[in-house]
Amino acid sequence: MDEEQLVIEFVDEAREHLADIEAQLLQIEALGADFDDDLVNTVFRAIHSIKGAAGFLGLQTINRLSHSLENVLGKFREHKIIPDPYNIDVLLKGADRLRSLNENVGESNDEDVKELVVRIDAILEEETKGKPARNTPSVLTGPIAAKPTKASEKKGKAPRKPRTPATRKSKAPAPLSTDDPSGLDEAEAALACSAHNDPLTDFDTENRSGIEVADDCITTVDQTVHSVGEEIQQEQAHESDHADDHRKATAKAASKRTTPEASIRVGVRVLDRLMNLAGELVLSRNQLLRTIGNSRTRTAALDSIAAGLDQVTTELQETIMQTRMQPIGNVFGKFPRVIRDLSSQLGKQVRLEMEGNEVEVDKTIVEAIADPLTHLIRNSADHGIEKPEVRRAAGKPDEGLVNLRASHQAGKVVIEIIDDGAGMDAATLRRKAVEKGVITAEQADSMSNRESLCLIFAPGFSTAEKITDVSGRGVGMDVVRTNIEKLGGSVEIDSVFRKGTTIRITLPLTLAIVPSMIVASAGHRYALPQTNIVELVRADGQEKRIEWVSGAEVLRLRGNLIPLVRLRNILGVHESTDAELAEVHTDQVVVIESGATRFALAVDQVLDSEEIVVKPLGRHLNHLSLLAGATILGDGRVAMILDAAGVASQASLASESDEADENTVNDTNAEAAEDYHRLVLLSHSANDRFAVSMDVVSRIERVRADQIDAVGGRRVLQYRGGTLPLIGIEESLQVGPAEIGSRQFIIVFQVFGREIGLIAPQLEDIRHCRVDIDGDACNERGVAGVTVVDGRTTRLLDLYGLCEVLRPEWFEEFKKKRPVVDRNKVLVCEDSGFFRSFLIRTLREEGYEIFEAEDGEYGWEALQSNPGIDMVVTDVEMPRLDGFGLTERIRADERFKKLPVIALTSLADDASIARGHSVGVNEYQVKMNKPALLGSISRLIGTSKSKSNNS
Amino acid sequence: MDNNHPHQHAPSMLQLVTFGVGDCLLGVEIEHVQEINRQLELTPVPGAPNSIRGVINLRGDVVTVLDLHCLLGLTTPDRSRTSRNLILNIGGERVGVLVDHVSDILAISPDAISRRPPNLSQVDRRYVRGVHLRDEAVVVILDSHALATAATDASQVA
Repeated sequence: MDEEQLVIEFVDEAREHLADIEAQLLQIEALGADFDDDLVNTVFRAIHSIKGAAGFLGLQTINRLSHSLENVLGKFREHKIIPDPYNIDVLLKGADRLRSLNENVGESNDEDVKELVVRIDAILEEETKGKPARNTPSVLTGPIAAKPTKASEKKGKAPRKPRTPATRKSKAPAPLSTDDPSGLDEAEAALACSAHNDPLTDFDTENRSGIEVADDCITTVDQTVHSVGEEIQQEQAHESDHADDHRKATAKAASKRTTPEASIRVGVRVLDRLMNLAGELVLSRNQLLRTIGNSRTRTAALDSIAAGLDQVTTELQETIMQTRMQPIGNVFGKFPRVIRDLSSQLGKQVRLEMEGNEVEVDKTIVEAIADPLTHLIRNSADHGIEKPEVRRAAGKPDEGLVNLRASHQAGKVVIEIIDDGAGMDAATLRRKAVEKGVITAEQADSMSNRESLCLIFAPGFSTAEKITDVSGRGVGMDVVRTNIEKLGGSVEIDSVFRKGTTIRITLPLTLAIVPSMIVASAGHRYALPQTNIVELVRADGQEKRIEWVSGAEVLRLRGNLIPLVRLRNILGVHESTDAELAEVHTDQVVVIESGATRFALAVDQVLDSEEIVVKPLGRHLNHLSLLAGATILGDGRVAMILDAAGVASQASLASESDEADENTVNDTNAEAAEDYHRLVLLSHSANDRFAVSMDVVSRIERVRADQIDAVGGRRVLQYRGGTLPLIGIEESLQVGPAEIGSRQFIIVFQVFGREIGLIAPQLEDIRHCRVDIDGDACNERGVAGVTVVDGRTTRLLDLYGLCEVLRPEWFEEFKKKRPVVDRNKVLVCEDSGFFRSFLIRTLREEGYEIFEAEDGEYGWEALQSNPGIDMVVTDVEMPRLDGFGLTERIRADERFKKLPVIALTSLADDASIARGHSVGVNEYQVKMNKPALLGSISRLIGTSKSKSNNS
Repeated sequence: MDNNHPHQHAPSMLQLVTFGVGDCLLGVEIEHVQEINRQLELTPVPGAPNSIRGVINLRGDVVTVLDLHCLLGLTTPDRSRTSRNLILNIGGERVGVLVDHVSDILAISPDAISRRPPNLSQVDRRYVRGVHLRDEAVVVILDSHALATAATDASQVA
């Protein structure tokens, strides 16, 4: 059992040593004769301890091979042999072999390494013969410079994880940390080399069992330390060969080193468990804080205890997270070799430069990113970098450069793979994609270059002219992207044809604890990772508003149009019809970024930000693309974590929004903006759907059916101590029987300062839509026109017309007050045919003489050719010359200086109102608000006439 | 529990937890039942197949709850006072099953299991290991392993 345990530990340890050796050998190779003594020493010691331990455990093959390697390294160390691509190549092969032997340690003794050993030993002859006559070096390429950053260089010299056997063995960090660890390495090796019956072995075993009972082992540890100390002296005395050199080197290394932190080896499972417990603690803390926050009995003492707990928990969590962090260099380490081997295989010259090896990421991410990165690196060398002759022809240096960079950016890790190779041609990609049936020719035509680049991530797409054994391994870029996205990361690509390609991977630092925003939709809570959230927006109907553009909802935000996705629709969790109006009316929007895709997610509510602990979903659910997992909220309920990329793809948004710049529109310049209507959609019965312009609606109330009373055949709503007169659609229009639920909606609007409610049996939605309204299709009074929304015929209600039919007495009062109109002439400028005819009809009924114009230019012409026009009613947004422009011209002309101008708008935001007033607009009116418009017209005409009469 | 079999606890005996779902009396082996609780407040999972009712928080772990009614093609019942959440633990994987009521624990000899009747529909056959006749009633013995993978199959279909 003990023996087995030792072998397992040996394998672990050897694996660590070997993982670093490759990178170190390549660095030695790169520096050639000027190699770094410390580096060679590090490699030497690693091989030495493998050799020692293998010998001790009776692993002859490993022992034999490492012995040969050690010999060569010893000669390097003495500068008797100079490292060159050839001998490093042999050493690398040796290290490879050691690694494979180590992984199958049980069978290692049956393996035959003679041939390799002979090759390695042959290097030793160089010393005696001088430079041997080699035919052609097996490596075609020049040295590969792995250019680590300073931090990693330091780490390269000092053991990255100072888990030397000696420290592990004693488990007594204090006395050992002051010792020279490299010396202890030697001692360890010496211990291992010694014969089985050596008393030290007994110490060893004794000590190992002692680890279990920490208290008991202290004495043993002391003894061991003592013995180890003695052993160091012995060992150093024994090492007659290169003792001097070695000691010097050791001393040099030691002096450079800061005292290494004491460390112990801890199983990953223990860390995972700790991590889980910390997660639970975070949850409990959240729960506690919430309870205390809600409690009435809170006291200062309780608060301070809670605050203390909060702080400790946070710190504990961070510290435990820290234990799982590993430098990304652990993955990068293998790439120099990958590039080196690839370039010789492909006959290319490729130099790999790496930066940011020291950037730390959660262990799970380090592990999971290795394969995708390897694929991308291989791709860069294989497809990206051209052959030397091609490069020369293109005026590039023979040697291609692949730059691998890792860095922290805003709480994320960004890895970039940049090559100066051939780049990708968007047109070629499109053509290939069409050939392969990935996209259709029409799709290709409408694709931007950036979208085309993303084609390489499409399943079944490979750009290599021929499948090479290098990149064509059956895994496509689609797998790469999927794997990265699984980690909560994203990948972007940018390429300039003939210049090079940049692939940018963004990863979260950890997968375990995610700062998130908790949002509610349809009565359930969801977590949205903060990393995806750009901002929270409450659409205010003005600068930030939700609009309807060519069949899709968008959020207009600071001049950008961002595609809007309603979380409800995406989730498909349908909720009862008894919807809270507040939810229907929601304008709470979270702007989300996933890779290059940016979209706005409309939610019912944004609740809170919370650090959530990601809990995996069972295998039944882990394939759901919408979800990144689940979490447990402070109140113990489970909430789903939304996957931003999944939501985007569900909404078929992926990479369609990356032309955000092209979508940028100038607010004042929005083409045909007036064709968008903010409509309240309501249905009376299944076949009768109506819309009301939101511009005339004061508010919407939800009431119970029993709150509506009938008084003298008319319905009223008991309301804030008074009553609100109500009208029903069926009173005037032909409709089917109303489908009335237990609750109804009342759309409140004003007629001559009086509040009136329209009963809406079913309220469907409030939205911005672009509709063509046919004003002639319907002659019913109270209906302004007919349009089609969502494929359903919808009648646009003219609330004032409806009132006029149903409650003519209200209008009588107004008509009495109205001054006598002696055929005043009004010019109506409006580009929308529907509104123009609506206005003309309305004004004609009132006895005005109307001149009409389709835009400002026509309006201007009409003014010139029709003298005696008393008033201009103009739309703001019009082609050619808009309402403001027209007003400016009017005001600039002596003849029309005093002509009253009313601007009509449905977008009465402050900025445009201010602009209107500055150019000389007298009043603003909402298009559909007939009473207000009429009042305004007669008032303005009256004033202007009386003025001119006075003068 | 079963008087015909005096050696109740003989290792060869099969102990079943029986429960009602719709009009059916079902049973699963007791070693696969981790616990029975009243956690009926589920969080729905958007995009999940119908056979998954939702998830619960089982002491810090998120556990999937299956809808047996849907899987076996039974009528969906109203949640009642006797409804329970049966947590199965099958090879370390936990799955919840909503049942209308928990009935009894039966010990039966493996010989007392008849093969599944051929008139079961194709869908629910997969989850049925056999039937046991007990007095008047028929206990349909479910195949726990098949249940554990049930939702994955169903989700692929869905």
